[in-house]
Amino acid sequence: MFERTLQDLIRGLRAHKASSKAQEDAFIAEAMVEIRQEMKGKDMALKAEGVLKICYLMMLYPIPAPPEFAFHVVEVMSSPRYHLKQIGYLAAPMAFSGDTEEVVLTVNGIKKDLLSPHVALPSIPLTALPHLLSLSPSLSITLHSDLLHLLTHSSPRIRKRSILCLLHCWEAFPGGLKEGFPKLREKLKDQDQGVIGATIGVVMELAKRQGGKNYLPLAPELFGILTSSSNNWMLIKVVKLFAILTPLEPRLVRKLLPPITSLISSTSAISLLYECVRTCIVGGMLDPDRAEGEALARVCVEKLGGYLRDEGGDQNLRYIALLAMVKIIPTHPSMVAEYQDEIMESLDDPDVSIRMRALELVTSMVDRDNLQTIADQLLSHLAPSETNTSDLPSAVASLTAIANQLSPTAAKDPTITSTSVSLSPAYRLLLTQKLLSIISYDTYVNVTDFEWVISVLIDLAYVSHVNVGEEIKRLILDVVGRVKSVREYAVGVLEKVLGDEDFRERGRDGTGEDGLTEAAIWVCGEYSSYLSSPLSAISSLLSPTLHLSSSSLISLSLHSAAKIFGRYAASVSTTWSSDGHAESKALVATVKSGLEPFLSTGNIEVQERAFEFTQLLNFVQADLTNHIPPKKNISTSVPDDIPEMDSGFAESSKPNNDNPPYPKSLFLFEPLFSSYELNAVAYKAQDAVRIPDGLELDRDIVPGGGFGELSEDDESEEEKPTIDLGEGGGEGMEELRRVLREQEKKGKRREGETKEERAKRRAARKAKHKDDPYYLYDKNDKDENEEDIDEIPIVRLDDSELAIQEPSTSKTKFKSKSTKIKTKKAKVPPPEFDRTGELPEGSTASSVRQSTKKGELEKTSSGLSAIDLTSSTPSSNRGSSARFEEYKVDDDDLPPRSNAIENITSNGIHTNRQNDDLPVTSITGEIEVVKVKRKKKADSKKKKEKPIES
Amino acid sequence: MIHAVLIFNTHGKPRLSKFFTPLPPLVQQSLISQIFSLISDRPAGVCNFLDAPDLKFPTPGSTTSTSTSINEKGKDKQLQTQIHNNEDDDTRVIYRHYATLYFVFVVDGAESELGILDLIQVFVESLDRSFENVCELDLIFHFDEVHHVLSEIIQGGLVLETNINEISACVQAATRNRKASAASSNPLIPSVLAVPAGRGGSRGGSADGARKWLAAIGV
Repeated sequence: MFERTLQDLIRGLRAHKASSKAQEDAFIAEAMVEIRQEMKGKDMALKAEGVLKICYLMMLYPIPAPPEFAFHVVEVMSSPRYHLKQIGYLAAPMAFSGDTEEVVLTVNGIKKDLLSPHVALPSIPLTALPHLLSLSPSLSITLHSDLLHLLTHSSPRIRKRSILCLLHCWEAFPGGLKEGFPKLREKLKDQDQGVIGATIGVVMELAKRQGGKNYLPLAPELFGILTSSSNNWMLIKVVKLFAILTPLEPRLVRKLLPPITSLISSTSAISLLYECVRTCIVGGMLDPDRAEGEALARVCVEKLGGYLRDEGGDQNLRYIALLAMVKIIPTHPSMVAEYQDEIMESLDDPDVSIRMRALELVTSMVDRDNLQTIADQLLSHLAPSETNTSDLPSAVASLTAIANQLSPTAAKDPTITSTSVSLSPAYRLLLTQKLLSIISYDTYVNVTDFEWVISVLIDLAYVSHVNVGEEIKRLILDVVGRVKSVREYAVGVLEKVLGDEDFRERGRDGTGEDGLTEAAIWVCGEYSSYLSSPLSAISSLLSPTLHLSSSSLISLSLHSAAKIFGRYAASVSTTWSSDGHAESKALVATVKSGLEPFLSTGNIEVQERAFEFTQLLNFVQADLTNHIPPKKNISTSVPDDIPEMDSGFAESSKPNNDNPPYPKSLFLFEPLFSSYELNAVAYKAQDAVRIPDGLELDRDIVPGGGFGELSEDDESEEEKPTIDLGEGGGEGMEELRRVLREQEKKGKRREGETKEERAKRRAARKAKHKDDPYYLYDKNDKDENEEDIDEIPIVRLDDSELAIQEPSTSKTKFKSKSTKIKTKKAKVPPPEFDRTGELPEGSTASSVRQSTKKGELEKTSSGLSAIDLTSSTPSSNRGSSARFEEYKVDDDDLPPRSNAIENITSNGIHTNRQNDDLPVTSITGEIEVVKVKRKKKADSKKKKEKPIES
Repeated sequence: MIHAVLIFNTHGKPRLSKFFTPLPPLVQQSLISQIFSLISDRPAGVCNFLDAPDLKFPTPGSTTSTSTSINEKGKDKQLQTQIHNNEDDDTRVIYRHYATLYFVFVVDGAESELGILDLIQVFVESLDRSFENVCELDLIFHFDEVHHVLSEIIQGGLVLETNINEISACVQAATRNRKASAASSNPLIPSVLAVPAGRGGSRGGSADGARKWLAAIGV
């Protein structure tokens, strides 16, 4: 039978490439059939060749692996021949995915290869192992001891390969890390430099994934490497590793400064120099409190600035300089500001990578003084495209791309490339979003002129050509709502937007311009008193082309038109005259005719509004036609109709007369819209709304989540008596509550004595079940058995206790907030705006506490990050006890006020018990988090004693 | 760590793709074509870091929101769950252009940007030594060999070795082993398996001459 080798296959593919796509596909299909035959055969060499061919095809084409491919790979892996085995292991990462079960078949083969006495063999499985280990935790557990054993292999090549494998092994099997840690430390002092390098890589990854705390003990070894090694790659890694460690241990900084400064001054490798500078920045070495911090910061910024200034030099250096400067901004903004010109220049760079970094840097540089300049600069990047239509950019970009491909060496005209970059839609979108975000940053903290904000937003909507309409709309409404003084200006400019037919047309194909139009419609309607000409506003609202717009825009227009009409009608009545009469009649007729097309429209929202307003207008119209011009009221005194006099007189006669001189229906509309002033709602206002008594959000609807207490039978039986004790002594509970109420400040908790016992019992049970194949446990069990249920903060809603002492706290809090704002206003008078927004009455501004965050942090620790290497106690108890201490300390730190909220009611214990068997999922959201502890009598006694102690 | 190593030519044909972070094949393909289209758009003389507003590297296991650019291409259901769109994502694409080939490394924040540029150089030089004046055709016809060279430099996303002498010694030893294994009639003679002779002279530990010799004969 004719056999095609990999080379033949590749030649065939290349031969068919020139021909049509269909032919190529046919060739591939034919090859696949052949390969499948080959893989099914007995000949191992043929099988391996087939596997290799599949790998090649899978790399080039999006074809799925043939069925049983993984199985054939397993066969090839188990071949005793070196070259075939290598092919098998090469293909393994491609063949096995998370859901293939063939991994299990490989375990013994891998084990055999790993422990092979022939020094060339173990490195083959080690090459593929990282992938396989990450797929199957069971494989990690099985091979862990073998990998540890290989760390002492005589060949450094195998030692370094196995240390790299261990990273993936520990990731899948975190329990192994504890055992392997001493070996890891040992390997940092290996006699082979390559092994040390690999070990540092592993430590780096571990520290990055689970935080550096566990690896602080390695600092002496790492420090030794830093001072003695001359291998740049290794030094870079160590320096980067210290960037993770120093924030955790500030004392390291003093130790590190001499070697790092000497590296900075002596090294010739820019990569190492850069990493040193970066570590200084990221590792918190530039702390201004430190004497040398300032000088070091100066050195760092100067180095980076030097890279940045290096025109025509290395673009890579400019890129990384921008990257590092972002990090230095929070501590030394003024030093970076010296390079503002260079940074701004980078924004014009033809290279989009550099632009993006510069953009990020620029946005973090923004402060009160430079916001307007920076924003104008960013805006000017968007502006040039105004000459093009919105669909041109891609064409230009692709043309330049083609040009680049055709002549990769030819020098490009920088202007062309730079415009093509700023024309790329994705870049424009990013730019626009950044621009919006710097303006609205921290509720406009940097803004000094809100009229400018409004004009920038409108400009943006006009020139950006990207879909940010929603965002712009939100910002305009937000600014107009918060800043009263800007409303007049906003209405003035937005009125013009309303009348801009071209602009509306652009928005119709859903490209985002609608956002501004909608904002304009709403603002003009809501603040119609500032309109220069309500009549023209109404006519542009109900323009004949309105029906082409989206239905949300139409319904908004109808609504706004009604608002403006209402306001106008009300104002007309104050200067009532027959002219006004005629004018109103005409207006009503126009509005009605404007509404008419929408009476039969398909959208229910639009139709409903159109009908409502038409009906109301009918009423107004009828009233207006029946209205007999003010003759009746005033005919006795003023026979002839002089409009000016007329109105003046009408007003004076009002008190005497029940009937005003104008038709009362003019006031039909206005109250519909103006009864309440719209205010900005405070951040977290929703959380401050009190939850009604009797509503319990944390009680399970079905106790136990619907599951029976199967596995925990023994425990719940044991525990019932203790709880009964607590409840049976209802007096004790009552007293406890009373004490808590009296001594609000003493919220300190004690743990029940059973805690340790229970933890042990749990651990024992878990350990018992772990090896039991019939016991189902979920993968995250590891951290669960460390986490004591009592430690988990349980969300409890406030109850009557809170209500009693709430008003005082909330008021003071609120006042202090508003005074803060006032001081701010005093500093910079012009922008007077409502930053905090409105809170519902009787709300607690203090309702959000730190503890939520802490609870979340604790819960997220799982897998590798749950492993704590620093303590020496056995793992099952260690986690909980350490955490308990931490918790207590924290409790002490809590402000006294919050302790008042923490009280224990029998109710709380109820819920706790019900949740006992489940991982308690606290309801996230900013509700009071109260840590409820199970109490025994002894505990409550301690409570009572405590007030006396202190 | 290093998430992926890719080699493709100036027409976007992949010559090597090695993902150290497991991703479904379709995502891999679409990522390659996306990176290629972004890189090929870049003019000469710009920096070696690819940063584009619409580029996101998918990471497995995350079930967060979707990345538009990749989702359009693959309609696989897996994609929805596999694509990660993280704001503080520190993934970087670092590439070098040699003749008709782009060498692309996708790495995360644990790697030094400039260091990776040097590593790409090391990779290319190692290829050059193993193929003697490497060109695109070598990579096409010996894609397994390229994998073997790469496996001597990077293992499981971590850097194994950066010394070119050591790397090429290992590559040569493996090649010899393959040849010996393929030539021998008895599949069960691993004794022919050689150990690289010239272990890099620059290596630190050279005291254990006897042990090395013992290791060489497989004891």
